[in-house]
Amino acid sequence: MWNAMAVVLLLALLGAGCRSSVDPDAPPDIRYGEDACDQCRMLISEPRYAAAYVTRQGEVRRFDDIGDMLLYDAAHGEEVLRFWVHDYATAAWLPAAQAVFVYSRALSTPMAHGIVAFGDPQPARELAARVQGEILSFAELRRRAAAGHLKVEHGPAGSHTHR
Amino acid sequence: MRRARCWAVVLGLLVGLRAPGWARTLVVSPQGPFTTPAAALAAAQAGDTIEVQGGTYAGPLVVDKRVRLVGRDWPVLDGGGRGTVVKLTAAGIVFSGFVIRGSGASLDQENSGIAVEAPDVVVAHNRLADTLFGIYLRQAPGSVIRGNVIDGKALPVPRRGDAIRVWYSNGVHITGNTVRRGRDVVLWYSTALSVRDNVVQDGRYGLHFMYCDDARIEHNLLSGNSVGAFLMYSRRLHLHRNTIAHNRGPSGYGVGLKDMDDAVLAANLFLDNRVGAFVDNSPREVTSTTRFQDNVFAFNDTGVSLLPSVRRNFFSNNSFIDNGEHVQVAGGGQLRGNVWRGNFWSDYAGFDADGDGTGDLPYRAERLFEDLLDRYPSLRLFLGSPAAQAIDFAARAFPLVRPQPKLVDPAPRMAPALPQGLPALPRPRRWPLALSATGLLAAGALLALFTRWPPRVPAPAAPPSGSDPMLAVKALTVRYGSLRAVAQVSFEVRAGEAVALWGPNGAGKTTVLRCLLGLLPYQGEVRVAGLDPRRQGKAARRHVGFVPQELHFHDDLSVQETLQLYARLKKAVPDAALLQRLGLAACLPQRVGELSGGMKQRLALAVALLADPPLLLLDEPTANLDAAARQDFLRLVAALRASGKTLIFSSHRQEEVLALADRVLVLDKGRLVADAAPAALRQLPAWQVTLRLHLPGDRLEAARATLAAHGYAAHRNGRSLCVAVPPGDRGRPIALLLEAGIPVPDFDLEPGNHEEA
Repeated sequence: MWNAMAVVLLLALLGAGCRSSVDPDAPPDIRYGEDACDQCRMLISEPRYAAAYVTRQGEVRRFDDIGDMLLYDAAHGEEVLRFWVHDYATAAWLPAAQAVFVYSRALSTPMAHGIVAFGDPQPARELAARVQGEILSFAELRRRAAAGHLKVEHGPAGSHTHR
Repeated sequence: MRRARCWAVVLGLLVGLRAPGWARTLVVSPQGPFTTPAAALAAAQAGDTIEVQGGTYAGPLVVDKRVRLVGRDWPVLDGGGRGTVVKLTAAGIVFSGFVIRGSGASLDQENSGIAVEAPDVVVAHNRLADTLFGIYLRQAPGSVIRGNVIDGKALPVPRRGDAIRVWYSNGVHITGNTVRRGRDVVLWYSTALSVRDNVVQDGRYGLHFMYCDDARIEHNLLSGNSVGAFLMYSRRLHLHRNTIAHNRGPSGYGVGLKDMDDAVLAANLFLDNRVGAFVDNSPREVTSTTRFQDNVFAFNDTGVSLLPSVRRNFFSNNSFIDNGEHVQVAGGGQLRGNVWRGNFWSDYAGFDADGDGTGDLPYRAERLFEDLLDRYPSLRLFLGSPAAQAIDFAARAFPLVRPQPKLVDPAPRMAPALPQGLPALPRPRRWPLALSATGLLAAGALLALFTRWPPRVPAPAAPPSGSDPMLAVKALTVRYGSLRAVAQVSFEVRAGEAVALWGPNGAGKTTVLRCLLGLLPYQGEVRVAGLDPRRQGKAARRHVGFVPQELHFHDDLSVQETLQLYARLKKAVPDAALLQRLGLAACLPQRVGELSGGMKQRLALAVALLADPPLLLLDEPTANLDAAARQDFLRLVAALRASGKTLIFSSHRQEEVLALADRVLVLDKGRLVADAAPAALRQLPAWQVTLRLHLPGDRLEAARATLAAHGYAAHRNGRSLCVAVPPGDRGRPIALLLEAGIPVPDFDLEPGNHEEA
């Protein structure tokens, strides 16, 4: 019995203690269809909307929507080494600081934040014109999120606000 | 001139504003008069009906007038793999009876089978196949989606569209639809939705609500999805009488609640999900609550999982049945500020001395292993293992390492409450008994060769070898607080024996049986086939089949579904021959709720025998049966005994004991007062009953003499005559008196021998 207990406790300690080292300069791993968004707990299914960040402690937070990453960041204030987003056109990872963002209520993203990212400003401008969106930098999006201005309003007849 | 102008105006009004009775029906068929729906639409006016007869018509179709489009003989509208197949853009359109297929596959353009962009549209009884999005409502308040069958495109889940999407559309009714292999059913930004009687299977999110206040979700079946329903950012949502089962994706929530205020979840069945209900930041506002009441959480890996920060969740009158872990604190920690009261907990080890249906001791969820599991989910691998049991044993033995209770229910229910009238579970797809009952035996060999389910069937547990007893009990003692329910009971049962636990109510029979199953804490020693049910519970229980006194089946499941469910849990395959023998083969499709008491008891026996255990425990198995059903059931049990099963059964009916038992263990107030063959017990006072005969006063002496002449020692007690009678002989004194011409106006039977006492 005590042997069994020792094995279990050892495994528990190993499970708690083992943490793979993360390279902040490399895009993090997301297992699509398996990993859950750290903000909303839903499964992350679509790469082009998915986002992530790496903390100074080497932990990775994963999100199904760029807006959820911004909300989580604003709420938790972790020390972040690098924010990552996907190019909406190519679904390739790119550092958020180097991306151009289109923000429009007409964009149907997984959690309805309406934010997508591009590495190339030209397709971003074309999309923004098509959906009457704003072109924003990541710094501006973070500023809005921190100020509580990045929010999803309820529908025409509703009153619920998601901050 | 002026008069002519007047007439022109009147005529114009008559043409433009026709009365409803003037509405026309335009017929579309390959033979004409209109050969395409678009041609009929061009000629139609608001209020007209367009009847489209069987045939295949090319899409896309845009309906921009208030018309009724009705399909006859399932006309097909084929989008040819491009764009959206049908767009409904005028208020009040009715669109029904079509097969819609072949939308484009662009998620960006949201290619759909039917797109509705106007209020008060009815989309009913259509069949959609090979469409990316199924039915898509945008700004379509007051619309109805009813009775449609929607099969998604054969694509990987992330590339599928939503089977139903409702977007900024208040007051929509979604009723009686069947959805298979979609991505999600998405309901966003819409108030006062009604979602009833739908079946949603094999998708990602059965339902996904966001920003939808005042919705009612009733009587739906959400099964086999990654998540049954994810409910977010909404208020006053009511989730009633739904069956939410087998949702086992990576997160596998039956229902997930995120930032929900004043939600009410009542009378739902959460069955076999990874997590029955997951609660995150709900309720969100300090003035709101979440109420879980009258639900059943059964056979989930985790019944309810809550983040430690949640407060103001009220759990009342729910039944937590055999979940791997009833309640989990996600990430570990303590739950505070939630209320648990009046719930049934299948691992409750207390008692109900006053018989009011509520346990006299609180239920405490305080297993040390679960506490570790909440902190380190990777330990789930060890759930139910000897190591996990060792940890819990250590916590009981050394209270210093005992965790704080996760929750305390001060008034636990003693019996579960199962909601009635729930949606039935889907028919199993790989169920070996899907063949007709009559073909069962003949198909058995083929099924054994070809069935792929269940993947691994453990071999039946073997009886102990040599001279080892099947069951050994030494100095068994159970205390409930200051009450000693079982005191120093010792006995052995050998393989193949049939042993009765006999005694009046409260003698300790059920308590002994629950100890044999490892369900109660006890002092002393119990060995089942040499295994300790406390430390080797899983291995010990493989040797045991148990038929409880109170049956807890789900009335809406069929017999077949019930057996499938338990077979899956026991990793067993039902024995077709056994079902035939138990008389169940013919009623496999029947709902359990429609079975008689006797047939339900047979079903319980079949469930107990699923893994072919050598030892069968039966707790008052005939207590709720009428005389005929009792006899039938006893015959079945006798046949099992003859086949070599070891039987231990509790009973307070002497005739059962005489008919079945090789030995009788007589319990009285928790003590074993006799261990003997049934025949040897006839003289035991507790074994006998007293027949109290109420006779005319002037015939008392004559009656006493008559009975004495036949060997009965009767004595007077006021205006009645008492005589001790053994079981099987209770009517004979009355018959003797009647033969002697002495009337017997009334009588009573009382336990025990009053004279001896």
